[in-house]
Amino acid sequence: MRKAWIYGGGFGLLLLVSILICLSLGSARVPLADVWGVLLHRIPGIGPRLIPAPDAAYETIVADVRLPRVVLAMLVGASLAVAGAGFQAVLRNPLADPYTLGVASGASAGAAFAILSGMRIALGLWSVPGAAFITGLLTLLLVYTLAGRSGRKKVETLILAGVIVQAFFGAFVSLMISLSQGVVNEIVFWLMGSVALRGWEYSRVLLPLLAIVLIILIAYSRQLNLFALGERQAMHMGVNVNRTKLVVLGASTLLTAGAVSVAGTIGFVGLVVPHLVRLLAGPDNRLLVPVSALAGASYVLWADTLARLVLGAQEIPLGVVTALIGTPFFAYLLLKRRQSAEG
Amino acid sequence: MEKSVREEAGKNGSWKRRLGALGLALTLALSLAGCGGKSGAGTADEPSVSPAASNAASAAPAGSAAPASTAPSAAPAATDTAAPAATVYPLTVKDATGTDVVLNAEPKRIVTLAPSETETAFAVGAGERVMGVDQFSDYPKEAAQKAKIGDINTNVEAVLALKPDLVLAHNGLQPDVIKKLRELKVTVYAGDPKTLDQVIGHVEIIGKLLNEQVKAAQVADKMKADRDRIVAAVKDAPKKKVYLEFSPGWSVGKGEFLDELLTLAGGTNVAGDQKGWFEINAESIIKSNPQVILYGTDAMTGNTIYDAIMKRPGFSALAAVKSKDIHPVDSSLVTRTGPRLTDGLVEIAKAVHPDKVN
Repeated sequence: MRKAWIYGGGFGLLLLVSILICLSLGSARVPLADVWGVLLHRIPGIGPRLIPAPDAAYETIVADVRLPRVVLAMLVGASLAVAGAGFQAVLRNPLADPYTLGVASGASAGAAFAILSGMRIALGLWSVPGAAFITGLLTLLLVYTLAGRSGRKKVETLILAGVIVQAFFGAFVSLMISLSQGVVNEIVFWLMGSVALRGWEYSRVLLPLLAIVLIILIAYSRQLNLFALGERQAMHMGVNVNRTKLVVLGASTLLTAGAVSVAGTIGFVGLVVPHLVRLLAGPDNRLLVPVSALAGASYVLWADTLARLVLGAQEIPLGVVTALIGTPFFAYLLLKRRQSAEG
Repeated sequence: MEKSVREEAGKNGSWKRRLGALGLALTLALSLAGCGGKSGAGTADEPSVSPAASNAASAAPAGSAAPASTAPSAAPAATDTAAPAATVYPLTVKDATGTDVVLNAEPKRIVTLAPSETETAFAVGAGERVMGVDQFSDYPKEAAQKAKIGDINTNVEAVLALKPDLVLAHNGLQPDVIKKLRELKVTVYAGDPKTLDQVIGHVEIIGKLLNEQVKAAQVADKMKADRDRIVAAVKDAPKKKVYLEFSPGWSVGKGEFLDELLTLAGGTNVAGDQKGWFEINAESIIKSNPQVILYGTDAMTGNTIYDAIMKRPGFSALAAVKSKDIHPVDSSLVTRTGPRLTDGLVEIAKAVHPDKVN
């Protein structure tokens, strides 16, 4: 497993460097020394003895605004990438991503409804993420029901059911948008995704979910490798195909719903990152899944850093950045691979 | 469904800008261009002269180089010393689209397409003649009883069914609806005031169109008195740094009514370096450390913006949060270009300088 060390270490290092850089950047220009002074000061126990208390405004900006945001961006990125890897492995479809089975549109419909109905007045700030999460999971159930009795689902039927449900909820979201009247259409912006203005509690929700699903997918990665041969072959090799499918899809959906409910729909990460990692590190899921988590975390972290930096005091929706940067990059990789294959 | 609309020209402009980003910009631009071109042609053959009190807007030479959108609203402010009189019809007034609107007789069947226009028509005493309003017109209470002609996407058929002899519209909100109605030979007057003074002028113009000049002058005088009272009260007070949030996670910079009202009320918008509505960046807000926060409330949002601000990471360090200087302002007061705009000004001034204004 030398490869594992190279890629795992490489992407791990990339993520670490990314954290260091992204924490240091922001629209409020905090001197580099102060950024790190704040962070060292915050280390429990030895921190306060190590570094004198930094400027209060800087402390707020770095420790209370930037840090939770950086962490949430990483968690969301890792979640989407891992879920994407799971979907691609089970569905054996290069176009599969965390949103293939309609989770995103289901969650969006829930969020749109929560925003429009004024549920927040009664139930508080968590009503939008809560509604998104619940409808996201309900969508999966709906897709499964449409696709047929459990145990006999064909991949094509599943994808088709996902497309149908997606179209339906997409229309529902459009309806909600057309009904809403506001200066700033909150639903539209929710759809474009963001990790801004969120405190630690969002990370606290997503982290355990990510950890559990990551463990499940890594545990199933050997079976998933055999899936690449086709379901029949995998069955001959002793894989419980239906259970693997159910568990991996269910876990990936859960994780997707979690990520979508805290950050909105952030496109492209779940599609591109696993492909990217596969191009570099090969198709072995034992490596692909964890490395995708690292790469997805770095990707969304950088995308979010750009989202908050480029326009100064204004923000760009995160989902816009991930797609704007990701698409050309992915196209370039595809071209390059084709050339090397042909030449 | 949802009850409230926070509408007004600039804001909606911003909203549409965002939509434009989603691919509708072209459509909009085309419809606007269509409007402009048409009105330019229309002014050539009709020398616009209003018989009664002189009106700078209508007397402006056709094809004048001045931007059409500001002319009608700005002009009447100059006529406020003239004694209001009964309007003499036929009357020709150039509106914000640059079109000469001709009224042959006093309008008896009025339809309003935006809450600001509804409020203005009622305020000048023409409420009984209003036959239909848009779905978001919730003030005054009687307006809610009127027939509905749809939301911002006006249902043109519903308007026609009411057989209006005058439609009051807001050019910033509905340029394509206005164009469509005119194609259908409906008389439309479209306002588009951009400043508080222009809003006051707009009230006077509507009063003139509806032959309610006396009442309109009273409303305008009250608005001016409120404005002058506030400006005088906060004149010597130190400017306070204020952060505005009237849509969750969004603030507003120069070129919007909120910014103008805040400035008049003796505050400095911490987002004053921005233009229009924009998604905030928490770091910039925290760095600017506002002393007062004003947030919008209406039937739909309730106190959600307040809750969001209090839970937002880092915001607890703001001077305004520490001193609990966080005040709700009724969104419909400060975003509708109608007669209650100065009430919004008073509300803002009370929040920013509670010691100076009561």
